[in-house]
Amino acid sequence: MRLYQLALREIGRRKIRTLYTASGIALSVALLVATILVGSAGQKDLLLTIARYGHSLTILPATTMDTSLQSFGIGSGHYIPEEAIPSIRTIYDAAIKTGWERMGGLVLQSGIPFGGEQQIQEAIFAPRLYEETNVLDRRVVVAGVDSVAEYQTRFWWEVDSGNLMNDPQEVMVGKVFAAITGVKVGDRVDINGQSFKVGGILRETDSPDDYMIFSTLPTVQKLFGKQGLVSLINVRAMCNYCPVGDAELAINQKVVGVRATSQREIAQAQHKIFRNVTHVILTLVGLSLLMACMAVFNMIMGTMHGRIREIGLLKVLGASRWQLMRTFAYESIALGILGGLIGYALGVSIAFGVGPWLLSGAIIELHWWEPLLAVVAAIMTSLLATLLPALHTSRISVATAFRAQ
Amino acid sequence: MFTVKELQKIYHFGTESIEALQNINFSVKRGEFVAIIGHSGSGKSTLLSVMGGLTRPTAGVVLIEDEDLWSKNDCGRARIRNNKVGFIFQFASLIPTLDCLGNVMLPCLFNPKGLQWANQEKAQQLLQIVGLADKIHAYPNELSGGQQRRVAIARALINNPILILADEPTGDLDEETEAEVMKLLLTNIRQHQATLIMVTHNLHLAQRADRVLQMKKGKLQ
Repeated sequence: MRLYQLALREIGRRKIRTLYTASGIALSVALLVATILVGSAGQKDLLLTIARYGHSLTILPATTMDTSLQSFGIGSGHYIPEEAIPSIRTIYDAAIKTGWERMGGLVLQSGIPFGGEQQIQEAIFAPRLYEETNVLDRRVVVAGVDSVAEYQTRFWWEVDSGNLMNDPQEVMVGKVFAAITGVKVGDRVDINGQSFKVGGILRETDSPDDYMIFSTLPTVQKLFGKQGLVSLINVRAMCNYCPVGDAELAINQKVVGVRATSQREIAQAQHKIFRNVTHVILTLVGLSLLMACMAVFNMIMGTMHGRIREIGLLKVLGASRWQLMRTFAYESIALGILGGLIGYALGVSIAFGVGPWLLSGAIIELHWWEPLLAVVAAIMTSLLATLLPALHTSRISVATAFRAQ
Repeated sequence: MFTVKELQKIYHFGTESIEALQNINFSVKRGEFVAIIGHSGSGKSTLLSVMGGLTRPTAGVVLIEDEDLWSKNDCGRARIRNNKVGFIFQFASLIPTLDCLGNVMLPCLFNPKGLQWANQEKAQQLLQIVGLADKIHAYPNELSGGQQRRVAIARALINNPILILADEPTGDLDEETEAEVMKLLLTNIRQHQATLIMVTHNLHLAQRADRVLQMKKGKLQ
């Protein structure tokens, strides 16, 4: 027989108490595991989204000084010729390729850099034409969009009712506009003397889109006599690592009459916020582990007190303080392994149960190191909680131990 | 040779002090059986506890084979207890999670030089000697008080101690078992030239000792 066997037998003897003590550790570990699983799934989802859609670039007529709703250049006569888009794209692709090669990335296909874990897709150019007019006795901005490119760049778009705009004879209206005017899917609205069917209502986006009416680009161009013109071009890089800044600089330097603005910082800020939130949650989980530690400490203190005569007997039979400490450590490790495994299973269940509800679209993934982390955290908690009672009990004199009961 | 010199133990209870042991001096040779008798509260158990390294004396020396027990640290005393001393208590003192064999082999667990296979064989022999050959794998809760006491005796002998300290070892045993236990202890001390110091109220048992020491109010008479 070995010391660890003596410890395991002791654990086995006090099954209910062991389970009760282990459950304290298990709950904290479950919280830790669930936070890590859900947090990393959310972070990965965000990173994938950023990687998939990349950073965006807005290209405006150079005379437009602001990208806000008030300064579309509506009615000011400032537009970008549609025919300039292919040459802007060429400059953009060349800048991305050069920048990518400078960073040491591989380019397998002209204009399509390849790197990281994902295949990098070609950038999406989504031109928009804005015109202001009266609809249902209200001033409203009518946006002409390239529906395919628009849905790719505005991937968060969802319809509240009806369907996304895909018919030149239909329009899609923003949620706020629909609420103010009371239009519903299937109603007809007159725009600049032409009647359109409302095909869908866009779900609220908390952006100027909520106040607009959308139709296809050629329809709006024709409706307002702006054939071949666009108000701005949204470019989505479709690549997280692409040097969008280089493209921004190249367009500003090489294309006369337009101004490109990168929105890379927005994606970085989103990532940073998510990371900070995860850190705060992990800190709270750490505190809960500490609380579990204190609860386990109390339980172990009680258990030790109940065994004091047996511990005295072990000392009489020649157990040194070190050997007693080792026995307690083995018990603690066994308790930690039990609590860690239960906690891991519980944490995974919580993550799979609550994760998709908390973060829609987040996919919980398991890794080999997570059960290990759970068990190590549980063992550390258990050892920390056992340390003081073990030190105290192993120091007690045999005579005191025998008098204790 | 086992020697105690000028042993003193004072217990303090607030402002009150009780001198449990007063200037105790005696020596016991190897192979000798010494009985310590006396009334309750006379200091017999305290003396046994101090001699075994369980209760620290206020003053005095306990020498086991010229090793000063109380000059050692906790670890050193534990090693001496493990290698040289066998204890038999007046209460049931078995570990409930271990069977008879495990309980008898328990001191070997704390002995780094202990060979498991050799100890197991010896433990089985000892259990056979104490009449528990058929109870090797029985747990303490499956044994009677007398059987538990016999397991404790077997455990006290497993490491071939040179000093056996017994506190009322036959206290709750019937006459027949008491005779068997005493025979076992005496045979063992003769065979291994061990010293047996036994605290007892039983004068009949004390008469079998080579020497009887009487305690009265913390002093040897």
